[in-house]
Amino acid sequence: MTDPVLPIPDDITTPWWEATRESRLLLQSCRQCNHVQHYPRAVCTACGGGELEWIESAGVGVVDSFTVVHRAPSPAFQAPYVIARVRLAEGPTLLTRIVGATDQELSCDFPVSLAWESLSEEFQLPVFRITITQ
Amino acid sequence: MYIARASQAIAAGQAETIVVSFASNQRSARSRSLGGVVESHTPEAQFETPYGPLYPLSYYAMAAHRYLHDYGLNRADLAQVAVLAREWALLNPKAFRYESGPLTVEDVLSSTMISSPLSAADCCLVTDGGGAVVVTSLERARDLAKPPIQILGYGEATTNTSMSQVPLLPTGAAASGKSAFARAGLTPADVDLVALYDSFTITVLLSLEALGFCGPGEAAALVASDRVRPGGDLPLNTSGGGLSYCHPGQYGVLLLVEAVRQLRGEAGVRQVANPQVALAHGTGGILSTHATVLLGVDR
Repeated sequence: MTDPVLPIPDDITTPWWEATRESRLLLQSCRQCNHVQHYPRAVCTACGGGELEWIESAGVGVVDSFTVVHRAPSPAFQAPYVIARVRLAEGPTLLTRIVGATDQELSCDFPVSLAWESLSEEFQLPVFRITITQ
Repeated sequence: MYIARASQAIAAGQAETIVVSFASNQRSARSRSLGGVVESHTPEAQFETPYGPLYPLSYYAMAAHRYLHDYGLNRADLAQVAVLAREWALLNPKAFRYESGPLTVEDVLSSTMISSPLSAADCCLVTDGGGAVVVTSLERARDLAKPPIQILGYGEATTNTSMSQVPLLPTGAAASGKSAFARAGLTPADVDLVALYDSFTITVLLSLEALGFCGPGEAAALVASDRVRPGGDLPLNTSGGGLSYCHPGQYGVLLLVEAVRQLRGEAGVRQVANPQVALAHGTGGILSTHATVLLGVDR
C-alpha cells in the first residue's frame, strides 16, 4: 500500500524534491521582480512573470508560529510532534516541523536552522531546529 | 455565503424562494476524523501533508499561539470562550451540553491536549444536527405567518488554501465584516446580538476583533466581561455555540437560525431583550473562508 503522505512531484516541483536528496532547500526567485517564493509554482505570485530560477535557501529563519500535535491524523505519524510555520530569511514562509524541542522550549519568533529528515527512499523533508546561540 | 447567493438570485429575479440548509449525522456515523479532510489536489498539498498537520485544527492552533504571543495572553484567555458558551448552553434545552453543568477555566485547561494550545474543550463539538432558513423577497415574506427578518447586509472573503501562504493574523473576517457593515449602512455599535462560528475558542477572539467589536488584543477581556453574558448589552453565541450547543459540521446555518429566533423573540429563557440587529459570522476552511450576515427586525 502506498503511504498517503508521500508527495507526488509534478513538472514544476520535481527539481525541488530532487534537491532534497542532496539536503538542499530550494526556493524560486523571479528574474523580473526578484520576488522569492515557496512552494514552487509556474508563475511569480508577485508579478505574474514566468521566468523563475531556483536559488538555494541559507536555511535560517524564525518561528512564525507552531503547534504540538498530540493526536496524529493517521497511523503514519507518531505524536507528539511540532508543526510550525517558519519564515525564512529569504522571505517565504513554509510549513514544516521543529525537531528536538518540546512545547515548553518553543516560542514564536525563535530563530531556527534547517535540518533534514528522511521521508522515503527517494526524498528528504526539510525540518528545523532551534538555533543555539552562544 | 449562501445568504449572499440567495439574496442576489432573488434580487435578480432568478428565484423567488430559496432554502438554505445543512444537516449531518456525523456523530452517529462516526464520520468525522481528527485529521480532517485533506485536500490533496491543491498544489501546496505535497509540501504540507507530509508533515502531518491536523486539518483544519493545527492551523487554528498556530493562529492561537501567534495571537497569545503577540498580546501576552495565555490559554486561560482562550478558555473563557468555552466557559461563556457553556453558560449560554445551560439556558438552551436543545443544547448538547444542556445538562452538563457549568464549565470552568480549569476544566478547559485540564482537558486533553489535541494540538497545542488547543485542548479538546477548545474545540467545537461533534454532533448530529441540522438547520434551514427560507429566503424570499421582503414583499412575499410580509405576507407570511411569521414576522420577516430582513437581510440588511452581507460580506464574504476567502484568503487562502495553504497553511503557509498568508499571515496568520488578522483574518479575512475584517474584509467580510467591513463589506457587510457597508452594505447595511451600520457599524458594530448598532449590533444587539452576535453569533460567531466558534469552531475553536481562538476563532471567536479573532472574529470579534476583525469584525470591529473591540480592538486588537482586546477580545479576551471582552469575552470575560458581563457584556457578552446573559443580561449583557452584547450577547454572544446565545445558543451555546458549536462549543456547547450543536456542531454537525457546517455550523453556519445554525448561526442564522439562532439570530432569527432571537430577533423574532422565540428564544425562550435565553431570549435577549428586544434585539433589532443581529450579526452572524461564519468561518470555514483553515480560518480562510469568511461570511458575515447582518439581520434585522422588519420595520
